[in-house]
Amino acid sequence: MPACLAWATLLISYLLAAPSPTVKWLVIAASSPQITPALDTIRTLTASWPEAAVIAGKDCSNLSPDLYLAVVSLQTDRAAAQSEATRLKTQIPDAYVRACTVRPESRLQLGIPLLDASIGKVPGDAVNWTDADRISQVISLPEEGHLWIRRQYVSDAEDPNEGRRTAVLFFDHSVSETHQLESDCPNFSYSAQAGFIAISCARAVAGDDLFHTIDVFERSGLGKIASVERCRKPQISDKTLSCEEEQVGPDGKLRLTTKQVPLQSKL
Amino acid sequence: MNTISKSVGQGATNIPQDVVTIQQLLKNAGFDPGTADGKCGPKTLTAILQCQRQFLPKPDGRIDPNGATWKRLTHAGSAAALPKIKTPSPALQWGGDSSQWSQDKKLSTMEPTLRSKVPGLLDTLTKQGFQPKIFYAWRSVAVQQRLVAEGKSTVHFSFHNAQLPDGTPYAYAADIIDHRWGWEKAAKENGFWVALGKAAKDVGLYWGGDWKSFPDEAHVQSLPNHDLAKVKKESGL
Repeated sequence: MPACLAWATLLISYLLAAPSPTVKWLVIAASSPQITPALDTIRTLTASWPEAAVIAGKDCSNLSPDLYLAVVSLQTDRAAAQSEATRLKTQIPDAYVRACTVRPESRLQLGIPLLDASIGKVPGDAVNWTDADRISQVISLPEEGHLWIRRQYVSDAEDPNEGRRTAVLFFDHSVSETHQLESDCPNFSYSAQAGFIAISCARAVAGDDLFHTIDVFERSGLGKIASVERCRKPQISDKTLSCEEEQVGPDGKLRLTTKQVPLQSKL
Repeated sequence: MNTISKSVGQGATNIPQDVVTIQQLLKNAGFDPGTADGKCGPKTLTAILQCQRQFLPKPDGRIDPNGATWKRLTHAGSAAALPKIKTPSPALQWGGDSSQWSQDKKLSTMEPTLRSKVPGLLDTLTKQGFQPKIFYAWRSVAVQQRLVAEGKSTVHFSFHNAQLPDGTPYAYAADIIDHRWGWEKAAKENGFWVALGKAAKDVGLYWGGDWKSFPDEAHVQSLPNHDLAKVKKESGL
């Protein structure tokens, strides 16, 4: 068989075997490169469309990844979406329908809201909130399972971070069965290998920099087996956690030295 | 003859006629207090501070009847009282790494309430055997943005970054360390943070070590956190 024919056969076999991508029909009220305008649009529409939400273009493989969409309805059927759009146009004349090829392992596919319900309550005059502080994320781990980086707002006028919170949750397949690993994890980073998940969070201010703490969890059972203060950039290999130990002296400058911590399973 | 009946400036009585008198004297002396409208706003405060920086080691933004600033402004017919020193632009005067400035210069970047309390706080800690120093008082917004971009801070604007509308530093916060330890574990082991927190609260300052969600043990400030948006607005940012 000629080589090109062999490749074509292989490609057709792959296409037949691969699950067809999910297509959703979005009824869109507005779109914006920033979160806040899309969120403002949603606020005006929730009385008529209680399911209205902001969706990231990034979650649809066929849409611009730089846009946030104020979506009032998400349909599997195009005609149903058109019907909803007709109703919406009485309020938003520019409303339109757009197909979304749902990206596998995206928030949209896994059922994770881009914006937590609490985000709508962030005060309008908040000083230090950016779009990145509002957007929840999902990370697919190499050995199955997901991390849900859930960004939330906690109402506390005296909070030094203006109520910004970053919870880290783990789930295998369904968001209905989550396990919270961290209630607040600024400057989140992680490493997951060999049955362990290491989460690094900023925990204190030091000079011109931040001190981090790394918590290590067993992938099975999710029990915490180690907590290493003043260390960043976790790496796991051969049942050992490597990280960069942090020191800040009187000059306020950060000094990093490599630290290794053997990991012992409790199972 | 010029007179004022009560004090004018930061935390002062600010009777409108007295404020007008001070505004006119400042203008005669080559400063820009804005329109002589009897209101002691940011421009007038900035002009008072700029004037005081020419002869006071610790400017407080306030002019009392017969006080040093009043005498300086009115002596020998006002304009001649002050040497004609050209005030550098804020960008030149306050550029660079503010953590490297002298202790006096750091003190001069604090707003008057904080500036009046920090020296006593340092004295208290010194009497307890510590070797305290101000690491940061004011820091520019540009430096703050760089720290955020480098992942070294989670805030774009803090009480350290407050300024008057013309760019003159007006910090409501200071970071105080023991110069032997900085943020090393020895600072905690030797009780420095606890001592700093107590001394700060004893003089009515807020201590960052009390912030359970994200402690900042070297940090003291003169306003509660809920004033941050107001301070940013007053800074003209």
